Amino acid sequence: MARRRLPFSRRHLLLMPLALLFVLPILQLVSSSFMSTDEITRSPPKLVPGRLDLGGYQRLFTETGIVHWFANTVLVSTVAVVSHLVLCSLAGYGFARLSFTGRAPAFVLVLLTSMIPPQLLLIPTYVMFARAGLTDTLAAAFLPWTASAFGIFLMRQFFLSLPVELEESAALDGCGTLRTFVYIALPLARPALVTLAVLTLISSWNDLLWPLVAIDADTHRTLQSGLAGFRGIHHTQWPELMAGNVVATAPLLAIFLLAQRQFVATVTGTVAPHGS
Amino acid sequence: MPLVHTPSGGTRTRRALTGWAFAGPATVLVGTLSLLPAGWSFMFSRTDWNGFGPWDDIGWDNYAWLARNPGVHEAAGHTLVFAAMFVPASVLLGMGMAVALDRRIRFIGFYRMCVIVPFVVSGTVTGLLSTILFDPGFGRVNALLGRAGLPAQQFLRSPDQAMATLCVIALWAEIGFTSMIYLAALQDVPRRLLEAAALDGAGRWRTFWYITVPELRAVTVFVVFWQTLTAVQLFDLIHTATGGGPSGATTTLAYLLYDTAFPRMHYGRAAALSYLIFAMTLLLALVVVIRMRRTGKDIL
Repeated sequence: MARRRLPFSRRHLLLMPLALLFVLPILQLVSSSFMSTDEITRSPPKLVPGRLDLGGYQRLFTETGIVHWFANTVLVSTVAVVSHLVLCSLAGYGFARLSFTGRAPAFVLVLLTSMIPPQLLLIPTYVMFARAGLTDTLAAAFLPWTASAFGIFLMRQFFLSLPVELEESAALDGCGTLRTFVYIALPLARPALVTLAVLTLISSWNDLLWPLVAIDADTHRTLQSGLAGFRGIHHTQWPELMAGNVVATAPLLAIFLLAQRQFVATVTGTVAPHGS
Repeated sequence: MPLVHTPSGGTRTRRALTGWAFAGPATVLVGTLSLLPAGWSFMFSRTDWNGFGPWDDIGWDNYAWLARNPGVHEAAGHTLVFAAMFVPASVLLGMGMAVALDRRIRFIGFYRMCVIVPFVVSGTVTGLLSTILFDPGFGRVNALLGRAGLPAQQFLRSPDQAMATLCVIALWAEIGFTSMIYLAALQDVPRRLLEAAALDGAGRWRTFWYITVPELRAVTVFVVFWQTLTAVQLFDLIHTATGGGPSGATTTLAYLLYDTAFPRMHYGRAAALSYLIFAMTLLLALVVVIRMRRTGKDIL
């Protein structure tokens, strides 16, 4: 199919600088990571490094725990995403399509927990984990990420929006509840699953407060808590810091750009009310 | 009402078992990791516990401390000031950018992507990056001001400017998400209303003000709610950009809570503070729900 070329418009004069405003700081971050301290702190600042300096990356990988931090973050995010996809889609389907005793109060309970700010949970969760001997372990980093009220809610809303007829005819054909869920409902829920995966990935990868509180040992830190602590110790070592920021951001950015289209479509479709 | 899928030949008990097998694990996890600690937090808030040894029940003393401590008042003030800048700006810029991006022209996909990209960058990284960009000496922002003939500013190092600077940085990070939500809602504004307005001779601005803005009201309620939560709970960015400084100028309630609990180990006071934040959140939710009832639209 031949794509019609979209027209140019005067609006480019507005949109071009706007886009630059959002992207330039990120470009500056990348280019600063390839500069020496001297070049970064020179005034006026430069966008393109005069000489490609890999010292920041070299010292980042040899003198800090970045390799551990990266591996830990990948582990935490993987557990978070897989567990969210399995548990929240099961629960979302249960709340949307199955009728069982206690469904309404259980769903209200889930909605209520989403009102609780994370600050309220910080201290008791920390104490709970400390009592269980789990602080300073990797389990502490990922256990709070296993399921969320938001995930359950998102999946329930999506299942509710699907036509029920397919599932009904599967049931008539003698298909059990679990099989109907796995073979009929889940494949249709792909856009919601992609959105849930991307949002869970972003929030678990980027979380700072919990790992900052729950984890002390340098080898058990995540990228965010490692980088946040980095600033105090190596105060003026900008190249390492910027290189660390690039390492912490690049994988997420790559995945997001791949999933972007579906993600934006579903988020906006779930949040924005339709019809009026 | 959700349509109900009935498993073939299921009795009541069997249906309950199936239902709970589906919904149970996530519900129990979410409940254990939030309702249980929430109750526990209230218990802590009535003790003088510092992390070690036994604790004493001190009644409402921690709440009394909240009421009289000038540091808490200041932090509450900072939180309100931040929200008062951040939330209206989110609505205005989000709506404005959505309108600007709502046109099928060349590269529009690229522009939309540019705007949403900062949303992926963590608050930690955004904060660290902003310390370079807003550095009074070698920062890019001052270089740009200098080129425009304006004097250099202290930004994050000045108690007077730090909060406004943080707000600009937070908007940079969050506004892409808000504009995507508005952009989606703009697609749902009925064409015939816009056409009717044009036929009646209403100009572009009048159409926008009298047709589009009211049609977007439900989304605006959501955006106000969401961005206020973001403002009240903001932590990562403050931690890496200013650490609550200079001289406490960017210490919000959420930051004060961390500062009270973790370096200082006043768990009781911090727990009381967390209930103050919770009360503010509930109050806000109540206001939003009442507004929603009035506008007759339901975002859930």
